[in-house]
Amino acid sequence: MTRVQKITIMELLSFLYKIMAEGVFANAALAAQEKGRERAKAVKEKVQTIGLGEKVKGFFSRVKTGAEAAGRFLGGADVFVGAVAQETGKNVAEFGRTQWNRAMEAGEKALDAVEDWGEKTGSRIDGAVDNLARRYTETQQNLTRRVGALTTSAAALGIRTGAAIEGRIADVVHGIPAFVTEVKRDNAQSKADRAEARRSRAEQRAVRREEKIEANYAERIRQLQEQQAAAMARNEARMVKESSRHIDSRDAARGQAAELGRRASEKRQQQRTWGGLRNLIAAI
Amino acid sequence: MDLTQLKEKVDSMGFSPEAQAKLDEILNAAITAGSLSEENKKSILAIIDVEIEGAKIEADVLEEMSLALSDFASSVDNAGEGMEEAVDEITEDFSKEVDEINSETPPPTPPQG
Repeated sequence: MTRVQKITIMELLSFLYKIMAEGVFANAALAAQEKGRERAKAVKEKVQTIGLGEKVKGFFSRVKTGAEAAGRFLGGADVFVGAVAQETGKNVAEFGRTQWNRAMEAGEKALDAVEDWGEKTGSRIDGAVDNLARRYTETQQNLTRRVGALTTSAAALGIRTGAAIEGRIADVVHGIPAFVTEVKRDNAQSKADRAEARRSRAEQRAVRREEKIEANYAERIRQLQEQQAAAMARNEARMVKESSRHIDSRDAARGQAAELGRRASEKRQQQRTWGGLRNLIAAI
Repeated sequence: MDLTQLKEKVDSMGFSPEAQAKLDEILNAAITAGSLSEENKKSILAIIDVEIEGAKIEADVLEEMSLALSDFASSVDNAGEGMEEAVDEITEDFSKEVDEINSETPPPTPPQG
């Protein structure tokens, strides 16, 4: 998603430990510590500044400032008095309005380009979750086949073992299909939200372009600006939320992967212990 | 190691309840008889083999799923590859466009009054 996601806590810790090690073992301990502090600071700054949330916020701030600057003549018509002056004031306001519209459209075009990336990111994550679902299905099929064979061997010894194994595995991996469904649902929701946002922007653009303002320029322009500001804030919140969903699903997958890995290690240890007992009995 | 000690050791191994029950049955009979027949020994080994194979299947599945989830997490990390640079470029283009718009001057205003 963004580089902030690439720098995981573990990587950061590993990096900091490396720095600490440099500080401890180098002869010039103080110099190394200083170097470590600088590098730690650089990593911290990197982590803090390059998240998508911050990036998107910076982007929206530019759009807002740009549009406001372009629209500084907007209220011109209402401060002029006298017929001729009012006409000129209208011209000034129309000029400001045109500038503002152009800046808004430039912002919207930029926003569409950013959303294209959101679309691309969403498709990649869809692909990744499809891959996870495929591997889950294959693993389940493989499990059923192997447990079937084992059950036959066990039955010859008078024990039933297949259902117990499948039950234990189901207990620990049962969350995966639900997780897949959740990620796909979130992605579909993000896609629908993006489409709705594009539609809404097109609608607002048409209103801005086509509306004729004959009086109360300042008031009407203020209303339009407020609507635009609210729309931009919604866009920003939506993009940050989309990014958060990706981060949450990634962290959930990583947490579950660690848990399954831990249980697999326990099972491997159990295999070794039982293997040791088997050798002992075989030697009797 | 005598048969009672062997049974205690087997009991502490954490086998599945069904396998444990079968092992208890064989070992109790052996303790009563005072010896473990070759046939019973083979049965014990076969039961342990089943348990080991079961644990292997479980570990394989858990590892495969752990790997699949880790791969998914890495794919999410990489999904936005290139996005950061692209957003920088988009922002820069937008800023230039706005600067250009702002550099234009409004129509002249008449003196007030």
